[in-house]
Amino acid sequence: MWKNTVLTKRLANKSDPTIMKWKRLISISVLIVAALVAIRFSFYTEPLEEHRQKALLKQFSPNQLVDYHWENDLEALLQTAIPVQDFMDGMSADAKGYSEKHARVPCIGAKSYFLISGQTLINAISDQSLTIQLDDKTTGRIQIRFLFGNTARDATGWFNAADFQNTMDFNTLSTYLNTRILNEVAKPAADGLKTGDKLTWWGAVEIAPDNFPVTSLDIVPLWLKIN
Amino acid sequence: MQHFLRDILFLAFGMLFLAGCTNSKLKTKAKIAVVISTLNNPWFVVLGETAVERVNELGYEAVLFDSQNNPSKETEHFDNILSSGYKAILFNPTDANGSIVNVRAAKAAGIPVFCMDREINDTECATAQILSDNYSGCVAIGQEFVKNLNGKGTYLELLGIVGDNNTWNRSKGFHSVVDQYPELKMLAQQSADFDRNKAMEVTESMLQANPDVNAIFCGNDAMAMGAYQAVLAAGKSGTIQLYGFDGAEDVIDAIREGKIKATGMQFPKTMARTAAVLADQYLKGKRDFLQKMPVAVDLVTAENVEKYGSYEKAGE
Repeated sequence: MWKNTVLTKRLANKSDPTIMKWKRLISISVLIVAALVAIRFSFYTEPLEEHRQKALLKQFSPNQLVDYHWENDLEALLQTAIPVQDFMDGMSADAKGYSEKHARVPCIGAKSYFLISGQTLINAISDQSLTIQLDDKTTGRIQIRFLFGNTARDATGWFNAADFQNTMDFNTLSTYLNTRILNEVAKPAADGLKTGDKLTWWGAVEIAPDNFPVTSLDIVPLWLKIN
Repeated sequence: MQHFLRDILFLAFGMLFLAGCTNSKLKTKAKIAVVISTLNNPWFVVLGETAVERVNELGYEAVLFDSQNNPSKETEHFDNILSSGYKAILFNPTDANGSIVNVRAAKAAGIPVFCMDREINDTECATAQILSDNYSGCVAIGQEFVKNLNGKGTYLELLGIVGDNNTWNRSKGFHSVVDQYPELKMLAQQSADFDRNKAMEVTESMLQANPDVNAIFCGNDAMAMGAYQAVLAAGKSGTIQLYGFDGAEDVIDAIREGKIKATGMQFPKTMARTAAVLADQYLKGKRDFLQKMPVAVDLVTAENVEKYGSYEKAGE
């Protein structure tokens, strides 16, 4: 039955002007769409910040990269620090859940990294650290003499292992960042401090949520201000 | 009527063809190659066997290749794999630079490569790289080392394969701590290629030149066990502290027995299983993977050794 409709008759007539017009229209539309698709996929877009990062990585050594972020991005970073009371309350209530929401986790495995801040009295001073109270049960040790490992690097979120051809360069970031923190933040601030002084601090911590609560926490200082 | 019969015949043939294709797919599993740097080291045996097991569980056919720590052998394997219809490669490279050419060849052939444990110095050709955080692991060992020696004494260091980035990440992590203590002096440093027998020979030789050393840091557990044999033969097993890295079963036992002070527990089973799952995801259409995925390393000492089994946490 469908063979006998008006439309099929017109389709069968190849020189029908309306059919010709529609065929031309469809052909042009297909060509336009194909051209647009080709143009669209001939370039890619990326966020400006990501592009800036990639350009930096190509031209900077690991040390220069640390310098760049330290000089340009530190102030903004410090403002993202979690107040220590909120941090301790959140971790005490549900360490795993809180870490999933708020931590940086650059590794598969147990460790999470946080930026925290507080205003506390100095309870004790040793040649290695300043001891402060984080809550009723937990002391904090702000490291002032030795800084090891990747806590500062990973807590800042400035760097991504995937951007480095080898992990040795990625780890060099830590060595240099730790040295910079010691020389510019920890040692200068620690000079002249005494027990009972009030300190405003911003720092990075490494936590294994499965092992929380802890009785003491090592803090890598990112900024210290004596009140 | 003719057209109708023609259409029905086409439909019937089409359905038969499709059914045939489906049946043939059910009969042959897609193959995934597992290429391991050496099967002469128990750690790598665990890595390889776990990868094979997980690949098989996911419904593929896994084939294990041993590169015998030889880049040329590794290239032969890749030539074979690329011409034999494998769909993915789980890869433990022999050399961070030398292995790049093989991964590039696989990429050019459209075969994804997932590096396990050892990286290549290229972020464009492997689909993903799952690596231990060797540096942090050895920072923790360095801190334990300093604590046990009270910040003073002399030590020797056994390095792994010099072309492997893991060797240098471990050494640098260790030294980032230990070099802060001027009263801790390294008397000698030599490569033993991650090999137990070679480590024994190298340690014997180093002990002859430095008989009163306090400790030996070894870049992996196989070398730690070789060093232990040399220390035992020299009659100094009670006086020289030994440190390794891997989390091998014999070293975990040795820590329990007080023969070895500490190791860094890597998780080869986690790395192997992760690589297998990523390969499966790729073959099911996923394309967006993190280029590098570090896996945390745990410090194992006599204080916490009961929490750990061989190459994983106890009970896992």
